Amino acid sequence: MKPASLKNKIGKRLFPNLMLHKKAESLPLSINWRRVFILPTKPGLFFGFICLLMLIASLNFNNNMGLMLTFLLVGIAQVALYRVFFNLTSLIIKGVTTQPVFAEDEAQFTLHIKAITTKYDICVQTNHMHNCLLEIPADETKPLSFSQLTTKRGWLEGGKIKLKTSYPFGLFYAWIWTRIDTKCLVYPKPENTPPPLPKNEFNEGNKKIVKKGEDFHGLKAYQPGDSIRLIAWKRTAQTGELISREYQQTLGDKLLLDYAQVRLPNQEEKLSRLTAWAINAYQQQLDYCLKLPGFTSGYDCSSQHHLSCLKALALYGENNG
Amino acid sequence: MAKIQLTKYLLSSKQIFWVLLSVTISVLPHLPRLPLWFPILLIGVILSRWLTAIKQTKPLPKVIIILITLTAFITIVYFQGFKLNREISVTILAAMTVLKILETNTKRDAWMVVTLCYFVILTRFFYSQDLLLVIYLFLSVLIITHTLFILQHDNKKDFLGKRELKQTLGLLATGLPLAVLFFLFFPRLGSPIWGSPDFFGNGKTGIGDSMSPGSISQLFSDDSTAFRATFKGTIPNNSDLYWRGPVLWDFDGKTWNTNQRQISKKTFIASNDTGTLVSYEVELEPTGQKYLFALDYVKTAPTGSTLKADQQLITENDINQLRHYTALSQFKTYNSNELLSPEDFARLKYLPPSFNPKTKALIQQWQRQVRSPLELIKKILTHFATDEFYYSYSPPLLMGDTVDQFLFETKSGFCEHYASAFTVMMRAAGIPARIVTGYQGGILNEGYLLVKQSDAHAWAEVWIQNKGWLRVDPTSAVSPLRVEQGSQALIRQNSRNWLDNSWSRKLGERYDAIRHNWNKWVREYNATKQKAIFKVIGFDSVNGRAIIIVLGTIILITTLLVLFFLYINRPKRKQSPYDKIQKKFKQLFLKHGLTAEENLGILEFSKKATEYFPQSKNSIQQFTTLYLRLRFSETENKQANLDNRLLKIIIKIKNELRTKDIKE
Repeated sequence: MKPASLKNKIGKRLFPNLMLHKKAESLPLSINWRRVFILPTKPGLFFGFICLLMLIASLNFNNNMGLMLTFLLVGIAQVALYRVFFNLTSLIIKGVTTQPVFAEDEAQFTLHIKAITTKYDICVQTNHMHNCLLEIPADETKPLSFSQLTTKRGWLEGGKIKLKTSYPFGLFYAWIWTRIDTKCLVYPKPENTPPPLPKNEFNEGNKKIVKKGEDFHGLKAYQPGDSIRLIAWKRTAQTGELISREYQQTLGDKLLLDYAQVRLPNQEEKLSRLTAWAINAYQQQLDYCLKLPGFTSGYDCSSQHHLSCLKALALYGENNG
Repeated sequence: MAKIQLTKYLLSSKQIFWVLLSVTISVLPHLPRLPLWFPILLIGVILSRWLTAIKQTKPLPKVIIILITLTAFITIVYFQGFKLNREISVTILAAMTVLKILETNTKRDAWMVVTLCYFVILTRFFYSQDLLLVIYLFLSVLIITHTLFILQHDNKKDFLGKRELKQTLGLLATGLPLAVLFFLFFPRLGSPIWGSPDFFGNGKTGIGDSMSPGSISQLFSDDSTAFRATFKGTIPNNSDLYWRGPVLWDFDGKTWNTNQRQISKKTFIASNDTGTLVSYEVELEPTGQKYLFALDYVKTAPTGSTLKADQQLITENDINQLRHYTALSQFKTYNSNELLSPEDFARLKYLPPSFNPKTKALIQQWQRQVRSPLELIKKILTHFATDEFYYSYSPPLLMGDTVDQFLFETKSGFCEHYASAFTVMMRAAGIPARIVTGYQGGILNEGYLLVKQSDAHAWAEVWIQNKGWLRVDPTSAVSPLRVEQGSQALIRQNSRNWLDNSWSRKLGERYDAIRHNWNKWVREYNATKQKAIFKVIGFDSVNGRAIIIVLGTIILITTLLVLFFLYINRPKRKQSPYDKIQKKFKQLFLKHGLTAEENLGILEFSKKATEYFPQSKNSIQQFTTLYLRLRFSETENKQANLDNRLLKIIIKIKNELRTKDIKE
């Protein structure tokens, strides 16, 4: 038996509640007091050191005002210890939402956290980032997002996160571990400088007349891959969400993006190029069709079509896709 | 993401504001003791840091900070000397804390400075533990702890946010039970392991080792407490209350000084002593000097002091802390137990040769008229009493032959003038005499004798052959009231300044009584008193087991208390006016027999209500639509007429329900 797994086993036996993060939990997840860790922070340790110095000095000179001050600080520390604990318990993680990203970007997960009583300074921490909420008023749900680094396409789990707080004085911090199994869709990384869109040798024949003026078609929620120029800033400012303009363009050519025709040795590189092309085609509002072994999208230029193509690229060859 | 990481550690201007406030409040009470340039440094550092905070400019370059720090340290060493004493330690600690502000850029720095501030406050209590400082203690702890709070929880607006201050205050109050219980039961040391609390001095106050015209009358306007005495029996007459302090032997024409070369005794050997014995306990306020005050004449030196041959009580260190001692004294007319050498006699008769010729001439003339020293004393006192001499605390300034001027020209003086003139006259007659300074009298204040600085006094002692030292108080000849009823009686007759009235004096005395109790129960709470408390709760000795049990119980009890307080103060959701009116609306139907859950949504509740009371259908509908419109519409003016319109509908429904009840 490996020492690590032995340690886990002992841990599981001794602290069943503290080891909960080993397996993903179902949402909504209510934070039980039995799984909360508390330790002094670095400022807390310094505070303790100063208290000790003050205690020694006051005791030596039997300085009662000094002792009063020192014990008041000890009292404050005691209150802080319990307060920090109650600031974390009874939080409820109601759900997690995600937005698809491209590989090597950061996958954003948003925790929707509900507080029964008002909570302050609730932070989420992963290996590489740290994000805090100033306040969750009682009976309200607030979003708190964290991110995970992505390296490859496919589904990415939220993974192990730490929810922590050091309210009120930063002397102690309480935290819990949990594992989020909500998955974020990761598209392949688009090739940095892809060759121009392929000229198809064959076309369907029903050429549409090229119309230079673009027809404004409507507004839609911003999708990753939309050109920045397409963003309707005015609307975005009004609603607070990214909105982009959708144009319908009538183009002559129909574009076929065929996996089989990409001349690259590596599967991932092929997917990467196809992704870049799909984005370009979508940005230019070309009717394109993505053809992967076992998947053909049909010709379209709508955002739904685009997203389903990207998803197909992301999940290509994966069993769970 | 990198940006988030960075801003997490940077300080907002609100946080800097609180850090600056913390440092200011912690060094503020030290300022009078710190060098004169210190306030300038403090203001400069605070202003410069505040400017960089609000203008978002770069902090001062490291080189400049190092230069400023070096300059500060060199200045400290230059003015206060290069030795590691407490004055320098405190100055350096304060300077360090203030200068650290300049390079407080991250939360880590801020946490360090703020925690250090607690220590700076502690050092203040080494100098004095006066009652008023309790207010300072709580105020400064509130400010510094709130700074910790702001460093942790920063909404970046509302520098003095009431809601946040309330949170800190609540947490502080919750921490109080542990503070009080630990204060009572945390084991104390019997005596210091190193050093002495008297290390930390506030400078000299009160009566000193020398006396020149004006030095005692200066104290007359000072109503602060010199000491408090509690007598075991009845308090003696005011005219017997001569609190002996420094004894002055040497006169240079203007100033009287103590005799430094003296033999010490532990006990005063009583030979043929008769006279009333009095026993009393004294609580002496810090003087910064080595003198203890006791009634003439002391029988035994209190612990920690020695009795000099001339009956001065001297301590080992300067008295910089409140000092308690018990003394036993005996009232006697003559004190004959002092052995005087021929040199001592010469010294006690010495006068600077060229000074005060007129006085010397007058005494030589009088000497021929009297037969004994006692008769001469009587003649001088009669002269003071019958001639036009005045007792005044603001006499004219004397120069040169001070005694001549006083006796023949100004004829107006305070006790030191009379004592000095009398002693000089005795010495001119060749009779050994000296001056004793101290306090005379005191007032009864809630069970103890309160002796103020304004009771300071000087009198003379004359050596009578074969009998011993005789106390002669020439002031009593000029102003019998001073000695019989004390200086407070004089003050009652003539107020010393426009602030001086019986009302303000009463207030001061009342406050002194509170301070006396404060000293007794809090400031002087020690191992002995603690032992008594341990005994009350059933532990006969304060041993390791008792301490562990008691402290463990305290932690347990306070934990429960804290949990309880945190529970009742848990942050709850505030009920909005909408919630209240909705509740009112629902209650109306529930009272009339509708069975529905109270936390049902308003729409569903209305549906149920309509089913139950179809008569009020219109009103219910009206209420629901208006309620929803007001609550969730952004354009509607929310506050105006809110209660009115909704309330009107509620009243309408109420009436409808009532008419329905009557019908049935």
